[in-house]
Amino acid sequence: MAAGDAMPVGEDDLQAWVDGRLPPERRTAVDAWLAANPVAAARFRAMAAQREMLRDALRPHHDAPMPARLRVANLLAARREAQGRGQRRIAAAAAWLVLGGVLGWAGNALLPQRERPMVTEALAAHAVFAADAGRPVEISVAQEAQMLRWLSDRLGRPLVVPELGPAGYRLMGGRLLAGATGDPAAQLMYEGPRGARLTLYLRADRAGGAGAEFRYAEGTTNSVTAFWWVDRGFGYAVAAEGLNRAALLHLAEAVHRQVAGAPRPDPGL
Amino acid sequence: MMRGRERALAALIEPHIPALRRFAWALLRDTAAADDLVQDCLERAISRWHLRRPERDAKPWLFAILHNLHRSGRRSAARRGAMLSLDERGLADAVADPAAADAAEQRLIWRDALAALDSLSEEQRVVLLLIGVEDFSYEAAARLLDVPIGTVMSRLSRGRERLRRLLDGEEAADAGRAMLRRVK
Repeated sequence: MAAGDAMPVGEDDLQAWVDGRLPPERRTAVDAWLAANPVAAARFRAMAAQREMLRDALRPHHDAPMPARLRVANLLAARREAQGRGQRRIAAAAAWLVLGGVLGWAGNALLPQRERPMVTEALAAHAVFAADAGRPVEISVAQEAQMLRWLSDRLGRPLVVPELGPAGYRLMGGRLLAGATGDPAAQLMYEGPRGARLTLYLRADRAGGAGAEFRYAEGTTNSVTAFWWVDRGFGYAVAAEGLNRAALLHLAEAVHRQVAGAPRPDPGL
Repeated sequence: MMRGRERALAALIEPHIPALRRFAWALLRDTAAADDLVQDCLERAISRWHLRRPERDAKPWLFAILHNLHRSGRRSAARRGAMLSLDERGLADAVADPAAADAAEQRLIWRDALAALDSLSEEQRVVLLLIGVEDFSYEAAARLLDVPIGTVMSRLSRGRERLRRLLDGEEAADAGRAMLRRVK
């Protein structure tokens, strides 16, 4: 011991020695103890060397360039973006509530509602898949029972395939699609005279502002047209391209009679 | 747009990110998983910045967040195994180019050190890293881990002794060492 009144050397002193953190006078005392205890000294010297070894081994992970995603400015921007999205969503929902109220008050939609997502999807799905010569449907009519089970299961309600044979349209098959609301959607495709295609698009549609009356919609970038309606939280759209309005309405009515089993609604044109 | 408050936040946090990445990598041994953990840590720190005691250094606070996320998270899956790739590259280099042999030898030493660290208990490993690598004081490490300082000292002392025995081959029959041998 360096001094008569020195505290005995402890394990904490020896660890601090390994870390090089002893104050000078204490270090002198520990050095003296290590000199008198060569076996222990070898152990603690090894620990100090291994401490350096670990630091060296890990240094590349400290010095490596930092990915941009960890920059505070980028994290803050992402956070603002997420908050903005939330606020915009709330604002949009509020706007829709107000608009829905106004439209309802104004007497049930005097305006065409081309923006309704279900209808937009139906028009787009018709444009994309009816034009597909190679694979217009995902499951063909040959497996109609299987397709019905599958689509009914995914949409969470028993589906009925309307029979449009009397109108000159036969079922080709169907496919599952993703609605903008995250609800699964189904598209049934029919083939009519001279290869004309007719599609029935259906999915849950709980957005208000629409009733069971028929409405007419046109694609904005193509000549697809549709009659659509919403019945008890479920949306239907009958779409075709290049079909006159009266013929399309006739088909939509035929579909409506069969899917709803309800009395024919008044066309709200 | 970089507002004044945000610039100040960046100036307080970013200097610690390299150390956070090193600590996270040492815990997870996978760069992508480590950076995910660091990102989670920074996001949480930013969202709770107002709860921080401003008179204190941000570093132990950030490390405490990261350590808690690591402990509570399901982040252990990435551990083990990922440490091998670097060393296999080192061996290949040594065969191709004698001048790279020293570097490869160095990497083998590092690999052994990291593998030995890996066979310590999680508690010992964390203490060895915080004190021996990240330079936290014993008191700061105890506060950060929310354990008495005596506990930190005993984990440090036992962890270092075990690491030494592993690296000096005194625990050659040990499961930890057996794992080292298996590693190519």
